[in-house]
Amino acid sequence: MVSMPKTPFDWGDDLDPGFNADPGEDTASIDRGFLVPAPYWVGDEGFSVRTSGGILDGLPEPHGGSGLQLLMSPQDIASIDSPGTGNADEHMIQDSAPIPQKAEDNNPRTRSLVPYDKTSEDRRSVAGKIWNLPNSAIGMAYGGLGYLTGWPSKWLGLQENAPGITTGNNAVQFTDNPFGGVGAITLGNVQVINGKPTGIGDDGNFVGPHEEQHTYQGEQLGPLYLPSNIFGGLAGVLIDGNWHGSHNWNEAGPQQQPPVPWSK
Amino acid sequence: MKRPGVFSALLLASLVLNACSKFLQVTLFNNTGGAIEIHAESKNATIAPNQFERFKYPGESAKGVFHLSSGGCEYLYEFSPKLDDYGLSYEFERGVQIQVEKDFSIELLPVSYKGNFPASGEIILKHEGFPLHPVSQKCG
Repeated sequence: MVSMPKTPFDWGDDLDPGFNADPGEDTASIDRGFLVPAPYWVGDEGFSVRTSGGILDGLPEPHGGSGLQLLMSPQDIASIDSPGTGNADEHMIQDSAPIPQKAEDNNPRTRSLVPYDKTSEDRRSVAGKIWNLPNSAIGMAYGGLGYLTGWPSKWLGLQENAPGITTGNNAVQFTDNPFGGVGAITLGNVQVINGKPTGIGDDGNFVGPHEEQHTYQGEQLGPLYLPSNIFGGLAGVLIDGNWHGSHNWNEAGPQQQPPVPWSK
Repeated sequence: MKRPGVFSALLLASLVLNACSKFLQVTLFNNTGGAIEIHAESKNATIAPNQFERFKYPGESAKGVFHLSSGGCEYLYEFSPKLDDYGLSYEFERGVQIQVEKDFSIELLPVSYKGNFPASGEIILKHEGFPLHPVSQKCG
């Protein structure tokens, strides 16, 4: 047996400059190549993945950096600290840890000039998670059972990695969970993955972001999510001959690159 | 009360059997002329000459590393190709199709290749990063 060597490249090699390249862009965008998983590994068993957020996405984000942010808007702070640029995000990068935000909100090329009503979005997301709760409950029970099954499976040598539980991609994520089947399944804001979210799916997308789109679908459809998946899958089978066919409206969007909740 | 429970169970079972996403597969054809063994993160298997075997794309904790062994030698590969233009899709369940040659270099086959045997020269894709050569070799 040849022992696995340390490879000459590191995770994240293929990331674009991301951090600090664009003022205010604090989420690294990912090249569509195959080098890209950029997890922050903390050993083999536990890990965290920098994603677009966890299950607490919808809640107001903690303030980082100076206490001024508790009292003043970012624009006001920017006008004091950076009169030349007036760029609040730039100040936040210099003075505080990056605050996770959705990439589209930070991209200066696409940022809306209309004031961003974050509170409203937070409320919608929290409401979506409540609406999605029946699915999430099923997902937690299912993932929990898989987790309990995963340990004996690991002890018996039937699977290499120990099962884990983490958050990311707008969900609680059960990782290395045998109930994830040949890939992953999303029930509510719960993802059950037979591997890691950084694994690559057969559509070429990372599994985590693909499954994240299903969480948004669940937040919109609520109790109709499961029936929608069944009927969508049947449409895929009948029309395309494949459950994941393009006529399965639940899979068409997440299979796009980059993945989106619904295909346009 | 019983019917909704059964219906829900059926819904869930259907969904589970058709999981939302499947992990990317690698299909490796053996064109070396002899049997080879593959050792990947998720699989250890022997591939007979002119046959193929599938294994999970080793792009996670294995960092793209897998190795082949044959005739007392072990060949180690770092498989991290950029395949943006390869055309991966749910339609092609074989995923990334590759072929190991007699000199243990690895060629890339089209994603749509449906043959059950190693492909001939004209089918092999010319693609950046291929042929892929082993990064190390140990014999004896």
